[in-house]
Amino acid sequence: MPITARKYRMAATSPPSPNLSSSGCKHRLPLERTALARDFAPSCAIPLRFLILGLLCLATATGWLLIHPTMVLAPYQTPHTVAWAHLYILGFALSTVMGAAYQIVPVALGVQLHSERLAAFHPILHIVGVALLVPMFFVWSLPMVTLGGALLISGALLFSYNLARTLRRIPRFDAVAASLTFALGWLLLTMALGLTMSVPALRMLLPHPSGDWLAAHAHLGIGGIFINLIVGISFRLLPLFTLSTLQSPTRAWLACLGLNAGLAMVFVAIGLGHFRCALAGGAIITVALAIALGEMFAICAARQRRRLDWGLRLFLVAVGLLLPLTGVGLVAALTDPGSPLRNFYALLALLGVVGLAIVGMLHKILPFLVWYSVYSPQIGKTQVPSLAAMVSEPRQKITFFACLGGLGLLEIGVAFGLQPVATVGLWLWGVGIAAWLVNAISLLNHLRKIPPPPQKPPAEFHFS
Amino acid sequence: MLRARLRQLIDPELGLNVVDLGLIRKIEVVGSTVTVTMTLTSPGCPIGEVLIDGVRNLVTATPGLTDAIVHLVWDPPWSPSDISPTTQETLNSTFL
Repeated sequence: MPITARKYRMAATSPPSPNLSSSGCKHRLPLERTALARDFAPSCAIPLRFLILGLLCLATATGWLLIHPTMVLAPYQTPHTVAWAHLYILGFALSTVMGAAYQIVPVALGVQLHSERLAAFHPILHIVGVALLVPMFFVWSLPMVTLGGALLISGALLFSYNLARTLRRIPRFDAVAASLTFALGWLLLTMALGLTMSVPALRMLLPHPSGDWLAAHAHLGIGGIFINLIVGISFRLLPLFTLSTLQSPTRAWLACLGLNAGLAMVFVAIGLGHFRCALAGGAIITVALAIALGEMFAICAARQRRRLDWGLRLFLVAVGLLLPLTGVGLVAALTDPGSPLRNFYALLALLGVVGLAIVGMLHKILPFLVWYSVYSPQIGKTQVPSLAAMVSEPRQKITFFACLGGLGLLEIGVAFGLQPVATVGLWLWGVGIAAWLVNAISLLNHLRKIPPPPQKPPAEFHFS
Repeated sequence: MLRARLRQLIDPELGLNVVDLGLIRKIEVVGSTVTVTMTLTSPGCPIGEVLIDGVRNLVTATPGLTDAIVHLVWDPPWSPSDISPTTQETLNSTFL
């Protein structure tokens, strides 16, 4: 599938008009801001590679659960469950987030990505890392897990360095940029901890080596990376998609700083086995998330676009689950390790918050990326479809209702130890994901319409 | 005539044309050169330059016109009240 949209587009279009100006503005913008998205957006090929990997891993992880539904009620610290969790988190969630970040972060912050060359190396490290790590967890070959982890962390270092250098260019460091910065830091720490735990000699170097570092690693990954990004990016994308504005930058900052202070406390406390500190950290996180939700509610209340599309609705449901999640987490911390409430908590975090938020945002990001690759060069020359015309709304409705209904049944089944109910819930969730995947495939089919780059004329030979 | 032509340019996110969205502030024609003053729904609009390119392409494809100058302005900022009344209802009923 030739994905050369940006290079083709640059060859086909003229340079920006020198008459493009922001003259007469009361709110004057610097010229590079008026140059707008095309100057800042990297090639669509890199984000698309990550998103396609994400979709493949989502399909695999969902199928795996449907084939082995008893996993959801079993103790989670088993090789198979750990393998599934890493397929879902690294293969689906992190791949999607990284792909989206390469595209959205520069455009949303109004600066150019620091290095496309560095970004071009990342996909291969990430893909091979995931492909190695997940099966090796399955068979519990820790030396190979370490190798897979080393590849993943190498890719993550490239990613973090690239985005950190990009963030340094932004004119104003706001709460969104701060959330991104924190998420990058937690990403590297999570992976470093994971790598450390996979090497027995290194694990002994951890303070309190017999502590629950696996739980600390999980909280750092889910909370530090994904919840941080969900909250931070909401402050930028929600206003954009709903035709609203950020209502209170102070609230956004309080939410960001509180969330990360609480995360740091929870991470250290869980690892060192300080139960009360972990609860205190959880309480701080709860307050921070309440502030964040207050701001998101205010953004939505001030929106000019009254009707919300299915992707945004899915995302907002995920956001709404954040507070219940922290409540369940605080209670689950008081239960025994094998308690069903801990499985309930883990599934709510993975499928409910992370899964729904990412699938919801994919409803917006994937159509936009495909449209940008295929149709933006043709705008004004031929008729181009809108984003709505490229997707099936009935399938989006199926995704919304089936995923929510499935999650509800699944959690009821897990909470009360009812395997049949949990299995029905999983199948319903699977129907919702399948409907989204069909929509995604039909979207990606549009990429076949990208014309090849114009051929150079053959060299002329002159015979004397 | 140019406004009618620019109605072919659709914001892909909202599914509405740039004229009815109220993005086109002014059109001036001098000889074969057209100056279009426009705005965007927000400074962070990810397809801003795509829409500007679209305006240029549509204008220069019009018979008798050879050059298009686009002035991007932010004052006054765009607001939904700029949307034409007949289009306002469509905005609230479309799902994307």
